[in-house]
Order: sequence, then structure tokens, then C-alpha cells
Amino acid sequence: MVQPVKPLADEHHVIRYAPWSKLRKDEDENVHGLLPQALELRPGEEYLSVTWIEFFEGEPHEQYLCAVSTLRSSIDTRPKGAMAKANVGKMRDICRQRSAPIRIVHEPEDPNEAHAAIRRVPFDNMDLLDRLVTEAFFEFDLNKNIPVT
Amino acid sequence: MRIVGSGKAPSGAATTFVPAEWASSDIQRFFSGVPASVSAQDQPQSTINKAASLEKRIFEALAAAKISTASVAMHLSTEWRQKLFRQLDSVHDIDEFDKDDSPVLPSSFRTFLRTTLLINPRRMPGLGLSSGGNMVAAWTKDSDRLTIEFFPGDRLIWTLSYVPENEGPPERAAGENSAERILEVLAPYMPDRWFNP
Repeated sequence: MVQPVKPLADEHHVIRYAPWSKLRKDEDENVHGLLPQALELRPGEEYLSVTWIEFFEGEPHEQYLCAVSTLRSSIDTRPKGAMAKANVGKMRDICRQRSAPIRIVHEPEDPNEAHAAIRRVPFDNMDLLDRLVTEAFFEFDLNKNIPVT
Repeated sequence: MRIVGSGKAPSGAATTFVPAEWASSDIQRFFSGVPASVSAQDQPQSTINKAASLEKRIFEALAAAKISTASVAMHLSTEWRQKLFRQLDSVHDIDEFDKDDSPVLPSSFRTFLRTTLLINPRRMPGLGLSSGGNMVAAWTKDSDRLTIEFFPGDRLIWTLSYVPENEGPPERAAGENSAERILEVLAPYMPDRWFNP
């Protein structure tokens, strides 16, 4: 039976992991956020993977730590990489201004039950990706600074 | 047409501008002798012998980049070269490197190096990599940001945002052009804000 697709609510948030090579740094390697390349798709990929924070119960910070923990157990994360958080509604606003029909939907994937997919974004448009990392994914923590739960 | 002189390239002219101090035979050899097309070293990850460890591929990519740099080292300060190598090594740290990513492509690095020589920035950018192995350079000053991705064949894609007069909403621009046109296309945005603060 086909499961109905569930779009994420505007007021909800997602996190995306970005490795060290895709972080925006200055000449002294101080981290200032994500490069637009952190949101690019690899050849063959059809959507951008993120983890839905409000999938988990609890206070916002507890939900965030659960999302990080789930992400750590489902993909290869490294200490100097970053977990970047974005508001779903903000992403939709940015893409709407550029007439990009973005879809952000809950698509559980083993082992990440909170997995969500971002689809229908022109992922080859570096300007749009730069706006997304600057104005949506601007909150970030280095992986090594987030406690293990 | 090749112009050798000082200052910026004339606007609208279909020329290759080589500042006088760069018109030495070694720079010209570097600019003209390297094939613009993708070289054998740039083969996609899938065509590389997968038995080659990630560590080996990173080592080879870094060696190629540093050899390229050595060929124009006399035009880079020692401090600049050391910072460049340090960042290259850091971006390719085996303990942090995503195994599904490619190390820096030699032809992308050559585009980066050529662009660096053309811009001659006092301030070094922060370096990154695309998943496919293209060099990425980012200059950040408060809310002013410039990001350039370097492709094989001297092609660049760039995006920038800045706040005019440090007030009001940010302005944004993006473009795709050849490396030799980079200063001309960035001129309206006063790139010294990033390159020579």
C-alpha cells in the first residue's frame, strides 16, 4: 500500500549534516556557515536528505539532540563537520521568490525514521543554494561540540 | 588579442589581459601549455580503480595541486603559498573527508590558481570542495560574501551578496564566465571589499 506523503509544516525545522570541506571558512579556518555546495545533489540523487526535528517528542532542544543522534547513527558524520538547522517555512519562502516548486516531505528511510526529502529545487542554481544556506540554514553547530546522547 | 600592460582590461574588449609583471615565459607556458579539456587525472570517481584507497587518491590529488603551484611559485608570496597548502591539506584531511566525495580535480585547481594570479588578492579565501572535486573559494566579511566554484577549462561560477553602504537589504548577484573576465564582471561590486580590505 502506498503511504501518503506528508509535507512538513512551515513552523517546523530540519537539520542537514555538512562535512568540513563544505563549510564556509575564512583564511584562518574559522567557520561562518555552509557553502552552497553543501546542498548540491550528487549524480543520481533525486532529492536532498534532511532530518525532521519535530518528528521527535520533547522540548525543542531535546528534539534537536534526538535528531542529531539519529543522523549520527544513519550516516557517516565527522567531528569537524556541522549540523545546520533550517526552518521549513523560510526555505519555502526563499524558493517561492525564485518560482522554485520546492517540496519538503517526510520520507522515512531505514534507519532514519525522521528522514525528510527536499525535492523540486534547481540544485544546480548556485545563487539559490547560496540564499538557502545564508538565510535558511544559518544556525549551525560543529558536530564535535554537540553532546552525544 | 593579448595585451600586456598594467591596470584592468579594457571593458568590452575581447582580449586576454596579462599584467606586465606576469608576462614571463613561465606564466605564459602555464596558461597556454595546460590542456583546457578534462585530463586523464580528472576521470570521475566511478572510472578510477576503486581498489585505489581514498588515502592514495587524496595523496595524488594534493601532489598534483602542489606541483601546479610550484610552477608559478615565484608569483606567489611564501606566506600565501604556505596558507594555501595548509588549507588544501585541511580540506583533504582523511579523518574528515566524505568517502563519496572526490579529491580536488587537477584541472579545477589550475583554474583556481590562474584566477588567483589574475585577482592577486591580499586576503586569502577560505577553501572548500564540491562533491565532484571542484575547488571552492569563499571570501566573507561580516555580511558581505563572495563564493566562487572553479571548473575545468577556466570556467567559474560565482555568487555574491553585500549590503551597500552597510545599510538596507542585501544585494545579490551571480554569474558564470571565464577566469580571465573575473575582475571585469566583479568590478561593479567593488571586489576590494573581499580581496583587499
